[in-house]
Amino acid sequence: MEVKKHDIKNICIFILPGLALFTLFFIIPVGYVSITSFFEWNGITSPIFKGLYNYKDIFSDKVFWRSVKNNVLWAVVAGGVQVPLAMLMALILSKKPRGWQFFRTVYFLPQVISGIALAMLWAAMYNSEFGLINGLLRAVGLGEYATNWLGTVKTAFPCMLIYWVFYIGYYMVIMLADITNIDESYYEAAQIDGADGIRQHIHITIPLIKGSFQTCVTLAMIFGLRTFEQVYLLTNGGPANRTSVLVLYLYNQMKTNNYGGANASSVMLILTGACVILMIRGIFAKLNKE
Amino acid sequence: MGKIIKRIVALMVVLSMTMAIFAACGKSDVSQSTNSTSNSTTGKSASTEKVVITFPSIWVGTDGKAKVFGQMVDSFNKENESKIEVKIEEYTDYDAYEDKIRTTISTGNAPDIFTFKSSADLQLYSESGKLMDLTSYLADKEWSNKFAEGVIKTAQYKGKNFALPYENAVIAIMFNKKLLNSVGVSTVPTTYEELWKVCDALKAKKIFPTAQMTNKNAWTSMLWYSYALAAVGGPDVYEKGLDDPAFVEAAKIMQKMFTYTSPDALGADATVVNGHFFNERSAIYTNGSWILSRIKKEGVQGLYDNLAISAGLGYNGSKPGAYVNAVQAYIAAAKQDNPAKEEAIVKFLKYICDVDRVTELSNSSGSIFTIKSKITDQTEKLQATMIEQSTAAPYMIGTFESAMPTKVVTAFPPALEGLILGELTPEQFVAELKAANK
Repeated sequence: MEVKKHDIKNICIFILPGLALFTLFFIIPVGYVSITSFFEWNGITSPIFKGLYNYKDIFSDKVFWRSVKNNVLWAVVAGGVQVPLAMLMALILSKKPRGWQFFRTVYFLPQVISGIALAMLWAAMYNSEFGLINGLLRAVGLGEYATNWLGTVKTAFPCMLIYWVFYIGYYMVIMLADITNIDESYYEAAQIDGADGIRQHIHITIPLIKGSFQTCVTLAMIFGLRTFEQVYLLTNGGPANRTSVLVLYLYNQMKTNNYGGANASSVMLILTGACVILMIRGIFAKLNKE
Repeated sequence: MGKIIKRIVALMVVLSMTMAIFAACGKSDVSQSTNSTSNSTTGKSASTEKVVITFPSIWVGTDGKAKVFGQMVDSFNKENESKIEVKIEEYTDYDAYEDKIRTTISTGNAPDIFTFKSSADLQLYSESGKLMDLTSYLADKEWSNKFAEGVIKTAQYKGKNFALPYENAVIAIMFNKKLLNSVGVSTVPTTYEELWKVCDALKAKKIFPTAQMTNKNAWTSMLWYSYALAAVGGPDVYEKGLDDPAFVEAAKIMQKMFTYTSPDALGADATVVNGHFFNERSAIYTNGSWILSRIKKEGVQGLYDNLAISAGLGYNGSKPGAYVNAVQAYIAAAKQDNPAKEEAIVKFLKYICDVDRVTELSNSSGSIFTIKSKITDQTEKLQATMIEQSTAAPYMIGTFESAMPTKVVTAFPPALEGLILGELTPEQFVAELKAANK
């Protein structure tokens, strides 16, 4: 549809409030963070311009690179495991098996519980002395496998990912809503052609919910990049910074009053987020073409 | 005509939406300013209106000082009814509290009164120019004489007091005599060599000799490291700096210490460490005097009575008896434009420095203060022992946390984890601390 010249003025007027708010609450803070990332600043006294010093400093810090690696891994697991798992559950529940409403509620329930409460709950589960996991292992005679789950280099990060990856309710509900909008006639036609349930899902449901799947993958990966509270509460980045993530890294910079370094880390977090979004868009654009 | 009407309607809708948004923002400002009016007094009305002082405090909830300090504030408010009111804002998470204080100072909205614990923060906040200068008020001998000798000077920045040293952390080593007796140990070790023997005996009986931690600020392990530094490096270990070999030697002590801890030490926080000691799963512990009230309240029956208090241990021929201490809480106030409010704040600070009140606070909580409180009949026996031992100590050093820059303190827990996991040698552990301080 062609936009008429006189409509442009109206469009501008309608866009203006949103644009003003976006500028006020996003562009200006991001600009401020970007500018101050070039300064040495303790957050209290006047900032001193230091050029690229903060960036050189964080790039030479192995904890920063470990945090980036963990964040990327977290985002990949979010997009590659959590969302497909959510889709699988949505596909199963869409067939309305017995008790499907109960399971839908059960899977969504953790979404309304605070992440902090969940982290505390899992910290107790993983506790090496009194935790449920070690207790169960000892009870079934596998006591030699009981370990300090969050204090061991090999198990700490996987333990955090494992508990979190099963919280799929949010994405499941989005995709379930999309599935219920699919016209029943497609399935009826497929049934007449002899397609069984799995084939129906592969050839009808999944292609038709591609849009919401893409949205869920984007959201999950972005949430993965922003991860903070579970890491802070479960391990605080330990053992030996093995589970550190970018937000925790910048939080620690702030705690040492290194606001210049924290802001340089923020800029890197924003850039990592932008790269991930572009990557997802690129992958899905290519898949859609095919 | 119809088009013009449509445009006018569209414009009006947009304008009303925009105004609604900004009105909402404005409304928030108004309520804030209303709050600030009610929270403080300004201008002409200062002399007649009640002065409200905000005090975000961590001495609330389960904190040992909560009850008596709360009573102190209540009685001050009662005595100054209709003139001054101190409003306590409760904070139970110290990290969150520290963050709030830093943020509010940096944005120029420092609370009227607040506390902090590190000497690095003392310097930072003093430099900010946003704190009330208490130097002239402390010239009043009646007030300054209530403080322990020389302690006011330790809280000065460029010769000025922007904060009062208030709570003094005296750290002691505590032994559970019942558990020691159960493995045939009747006397408390006085050297690390003796300690390792006791630890071996406890370990053989499946009792955790100590409980260590690495999460958050690795508090109790940081205290053990401070004691190791005192034993190896002597009274001026911090002045020599991180290049002193004592830091490496003390790291070796920590390595050994972690062979005598519970399996959950890596990643454990203070709750875990306290849990082990309070429930008699671990036998040896270190913490400040303030923990005594919690041990009495939360520890298993008889734990408090079974405790032996000890000073630092000797190492490789060095004399035992050193004590670790630090100012645990400085009290500061925000710079005020309103003289009436400044006066009210000083009045409150003087009130909470009263010797009898501080003695009551000390007796009830087990905490020790920079005010010359008295040892009375009500003073807990273990607290009195700590005071006596620390007074008689050949020397005292600060905690590692209080003596080192914030960057080094923050780098300590992950470096300690690296040391315990065997990823860092003691030399590399110290190198990590030095790198953080670059």
